[in-house]
Amino acid sequence: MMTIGLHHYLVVSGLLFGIGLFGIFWGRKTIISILLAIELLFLSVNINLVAFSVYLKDLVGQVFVIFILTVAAAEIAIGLAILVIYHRQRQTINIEDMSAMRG
Amino acid sequence: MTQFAFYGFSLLLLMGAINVVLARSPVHSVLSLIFVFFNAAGLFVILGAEFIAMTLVIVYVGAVAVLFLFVVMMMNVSWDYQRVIFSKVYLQRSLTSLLYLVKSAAVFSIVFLILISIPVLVDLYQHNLLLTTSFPQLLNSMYHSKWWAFNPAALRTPIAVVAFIAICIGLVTCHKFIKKPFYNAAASFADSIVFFIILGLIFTAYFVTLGASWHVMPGARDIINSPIPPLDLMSNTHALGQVLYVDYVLAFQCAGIILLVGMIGAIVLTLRTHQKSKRQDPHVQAQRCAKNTIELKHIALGSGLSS
Repeated sequence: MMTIGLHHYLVVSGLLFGIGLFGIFWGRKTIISILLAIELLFLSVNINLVAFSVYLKDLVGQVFVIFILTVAAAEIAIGLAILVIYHRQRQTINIEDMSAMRG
Repeated sequence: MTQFAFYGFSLLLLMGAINVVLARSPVHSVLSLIFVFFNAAGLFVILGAEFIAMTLVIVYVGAVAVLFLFVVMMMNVSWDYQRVIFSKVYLQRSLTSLLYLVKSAAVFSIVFLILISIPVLVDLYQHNLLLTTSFPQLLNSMYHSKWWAFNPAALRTPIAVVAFIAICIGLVTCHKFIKKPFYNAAASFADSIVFFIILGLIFTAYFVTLGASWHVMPGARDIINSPIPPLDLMSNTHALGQVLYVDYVLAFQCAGIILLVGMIGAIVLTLRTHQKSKRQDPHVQAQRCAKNTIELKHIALGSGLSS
């Protein structure tokens, strides 16, 4: 078995990104599933950053992972809040029903 | 040992991710997401980024995933309308439309071939070689023309992917104007399971080939901003803190402000004010005066006050 290098992590994160992207298109029935898929995308980007940071021996990548975590947490909090008030008003979170903006 | 840990963690991570996407119930999805985060934390520990790993477990598993769980369980929604994966009619329809799409893709690629051969022919004509070139030579020069990037090495470059997407869009829009039924087929194909499988495979293959064929530029290690100190000198958390609180202190404060704004925004959005209870309002009470609360009326003798 060969040693684990940068490529291994890049392939894993690429696969994870593909799965997340697939999840956005596939599970577009409720907003929750899209938010979960977005979490997967964030995670794959973080794996990428940490792998590069370790293999280039530069610490800045890990610092930016912390920033990404922060922004992602804030974004998810706001997104779920919007989801909650939408559900409170319309009693549905089905994406097919969301046509107020004629999208 | 490290290899086994890496393969185990990444295998479990990918399986969990697939389960996040495909699970019927959102509760199962969120639980798989927690599983995925634990495995990613394991990967980070293998890489030597312990602080990020612990942050991932604390912030994501402890906060975000629990937030998801709360929201999912709070909502009184029946989750039955999740996509029915392999209904027979659905599959049949998508296969029919796939057939349509393959037919028209063949037509379109012939048109595309003709179009792409024009620059080559013009090039040959300008060098007065058009009449003397034999057909195999023509094919050969067309194959090596710079106008297309169909060799496998170039498939890895983003330009080829952009070209592919452009061809797809052109395929749909071109036939939209030529033939109406095709557009319906394309639309129903774009909504079908086969399309998403193909799309996911294309993107995944692209990312994986990109990752597997990655070269680090030779001089990249010389332009490092803040190198990782050796582990016996200071721990990962210590080193991270020295970079975060010295070089990136402004960005760190901005991240704090973003979190504050996120918190206030979430509270403001979901806060419900109850108007049922009577509460004292000192401001209104202080503004109250006789002029706009009492009305004096002169009532004539023997008549009442109408309304």
